[in-house]
Amino acid sequence: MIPAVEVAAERNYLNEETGVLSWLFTTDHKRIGLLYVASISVFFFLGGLFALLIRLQLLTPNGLLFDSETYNKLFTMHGIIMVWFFLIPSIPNTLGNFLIPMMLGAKDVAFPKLNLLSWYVFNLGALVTLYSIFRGGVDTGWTFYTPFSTTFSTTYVIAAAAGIFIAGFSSIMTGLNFIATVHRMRAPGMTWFRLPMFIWSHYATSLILVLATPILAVTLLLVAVERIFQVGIFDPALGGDPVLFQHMFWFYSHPAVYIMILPAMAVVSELVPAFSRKPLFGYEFVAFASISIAAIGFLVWGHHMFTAGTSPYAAEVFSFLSYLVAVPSAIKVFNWTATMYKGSISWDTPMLYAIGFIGLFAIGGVTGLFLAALGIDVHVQDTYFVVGHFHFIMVGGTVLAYLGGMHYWWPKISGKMYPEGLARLSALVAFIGFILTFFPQYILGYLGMPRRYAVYPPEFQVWHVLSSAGASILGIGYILPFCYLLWSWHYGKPAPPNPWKSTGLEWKTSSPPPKHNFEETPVVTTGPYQFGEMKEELDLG
Amino acid sequence: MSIVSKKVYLLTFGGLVALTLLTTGLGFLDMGPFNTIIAILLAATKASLIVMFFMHALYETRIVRVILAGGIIWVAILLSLTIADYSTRRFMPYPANQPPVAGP
Amino acid sequence: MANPAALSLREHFRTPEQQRETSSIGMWIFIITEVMLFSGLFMAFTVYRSMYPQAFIEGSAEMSIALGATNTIVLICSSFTMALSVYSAATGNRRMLAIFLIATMILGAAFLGIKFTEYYQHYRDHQAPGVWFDWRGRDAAQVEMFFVFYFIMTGLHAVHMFVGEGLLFTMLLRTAAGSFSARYHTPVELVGLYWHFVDIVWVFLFAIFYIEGLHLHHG
Repeated sequence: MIPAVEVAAERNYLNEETGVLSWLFTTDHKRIGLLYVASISVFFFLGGLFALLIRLQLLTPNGLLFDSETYNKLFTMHGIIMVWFFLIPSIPNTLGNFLIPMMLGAKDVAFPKLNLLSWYVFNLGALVTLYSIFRGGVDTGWTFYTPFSTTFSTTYVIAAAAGIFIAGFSSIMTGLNFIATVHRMRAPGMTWFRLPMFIWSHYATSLILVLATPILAVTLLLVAVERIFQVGIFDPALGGDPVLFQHMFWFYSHPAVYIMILPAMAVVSELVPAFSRKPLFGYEFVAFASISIAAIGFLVWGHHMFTAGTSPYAAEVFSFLSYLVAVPSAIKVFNWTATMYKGSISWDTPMLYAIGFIGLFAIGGVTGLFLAALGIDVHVQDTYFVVGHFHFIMVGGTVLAYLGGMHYWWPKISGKMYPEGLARLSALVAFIGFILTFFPQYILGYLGMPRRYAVYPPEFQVWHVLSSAGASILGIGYILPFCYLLWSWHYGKPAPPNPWKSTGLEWKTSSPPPKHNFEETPVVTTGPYQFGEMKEELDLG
Repeated sequence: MSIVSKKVYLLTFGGLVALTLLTTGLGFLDMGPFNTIIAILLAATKASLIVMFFMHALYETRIVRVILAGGIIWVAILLSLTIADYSTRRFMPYPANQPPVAGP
Repeated sequence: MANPAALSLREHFRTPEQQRETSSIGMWIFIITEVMLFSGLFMAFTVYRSMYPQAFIEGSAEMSIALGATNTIVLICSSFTMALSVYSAATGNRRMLAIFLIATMILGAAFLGIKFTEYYQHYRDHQAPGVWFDWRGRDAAQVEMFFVFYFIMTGLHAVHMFVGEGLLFTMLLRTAAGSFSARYHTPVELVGLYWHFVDIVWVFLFAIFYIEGLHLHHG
């Protein structure tokens, strides 16, 4: 459990109340954020375990460990757990929950009880999905494509889908809560254009959560109905159209990619100015880029279905729209680099992660454009090129930003400093491990290695061995921060209220913050990222 | 929160009942594709009456109207882009793009 | 007696007005998620309706227009009484508030009663999808698909009606306990929004399921 803080004199959200029940029934957004950290950490390592088994299997062309059926289950469970039980809630529900009210100068989110309920619903959904794993797993792939998922698969499809269905409600509650919070809980003087970019990006994320998740719910409902009653909805033998399932699924799941990447952009937009000591370049552009990514992200889902038998005319439209979404993404990348230009950059751990993010996101984004091009997509569809692309975005993007954000705000969350030297080393390890794991997958895919196969021709082995070796390094890069952050919770140096000399309301209160965040409601008079004015303060010491 | 008068509610109610009877009555005529179009248009009219007067959308804050408009736009995106695929498939009738064959 | 509005102000809000507006925004966003939920089904229905127009009109002709139209009127009446509940709450008339809430609940229950009568008739006539389904005309699989959507969409709507009945009941209890006044009655307003939304869904369901096949009616 949470240890008694040595300096008992100062009351904060961690020591205000103690005991397990005070955590299980808390409505404090900061504590709920930490509850989410606990939950998703479990799922991250579980999903990672499946990834480890996948990479072990692929060390040799004929497979070391599993038959094809088991392998199918492994990558399915890896995908389901990582997407719905780690990536979707990763940053919004942990850092977002913790920081959004503080950045707005509010005491809590708009609906604190709903916030706690969302955590319980999330865990309930996760338990139902775990049940399907313990009963033998699911083998449909995380995408549940019909008619395999509705007619042919003999595994626990309904349980897995039900778990995701339930967890979807948790997403909706969080998104709804954040939107209402941003609209109505801002401190006096906190106008829209004084909001930190973290808020803008999370606002965009919440819009997607609210608008897209219901479609996933109804799609999974239809799959369950078709599977239970064996009636025709998507089954072509009964007059259904399997491509309709893909339309509905990707109407959710493509925007879901932006649910994962927008919060990562939110974190990086805070880190880059803070460690370059410069205001964010082109604030309004980055703000509107977040909103346009959320909006345009809904218009591109058809690019997952170019080879699925959709109309070539619709495919052209979807391809064009997919190119369009690259514009706001590129604006962001350019503005981060422009922020760093001539800044006084310090190489603290969060900044290392942020720079890693920008590089990997750029590569992941550009290869996304390859996939949006109709002709190239036909060549690399369903190959490791696709696997490499989305891991660059989701792992190289979201996970690195999550770790960077955790380090940056760790002093605020725990009131302790983490060991800086070890942290820099582990950031480097994660980056090297990542490149080694996923860059070979681009090459594999381009050479024609299809995804989701348990065995492969021997000429691909060298790339697979590289990838597996990288994965083990990457694993170390994840386990290290987990260990030393936990260690620092007990033994770290006490953190000052503002260790990074950052701007932003969350740094204006003590570390860890008091239960209601601020001793008195702050009044905002300036925009974010006013590092110029802080310079004198710094020079004076 | 402004209070809407009972008279407005009563008029809305009357309008909804009248439109329901109209919808049903017109349904008995065979107007080809217009059966569907008119039924949907009348339903949309009824829905707007409910939203505007019963749900007070006319009297609400700007943000509520923005939320409402956003919802309508997103439904339009979902429908139009999906229909864009299905309605253009037959333009290029090669085997891969045939709609699924009907069951036996 | 203490002012209910002051008692019901939660500590993280600064003013009752802020709390009311926040709740209202929350409810509207929730309604939009519900709109998306149903529009996914409408979209799937539209795709198949355009693929198999004849079979879907055949299926629609099996609906009982008498029961369907009656149900529409019943639900519109319930929306009317719900609107009057909100009006009574806003004018601080607790007795009328209770009466209109009860009226809304009775009308909602009547709707569900009629709906389940229809379900029973379809089941009896072998129109419920699955092994029990039996269709002597052409395009049996496609007509069955029409009934699949009919049962899923009206069923999901009925689930929302049950939830609405539960919400109305809690509003009734809280009215009896004296929780609402002209100054504080936000929960009644929010339940009202939900109830009207469920009514809107039915308006569209009525149009797509009952009206399309009316001109060749034989049900």
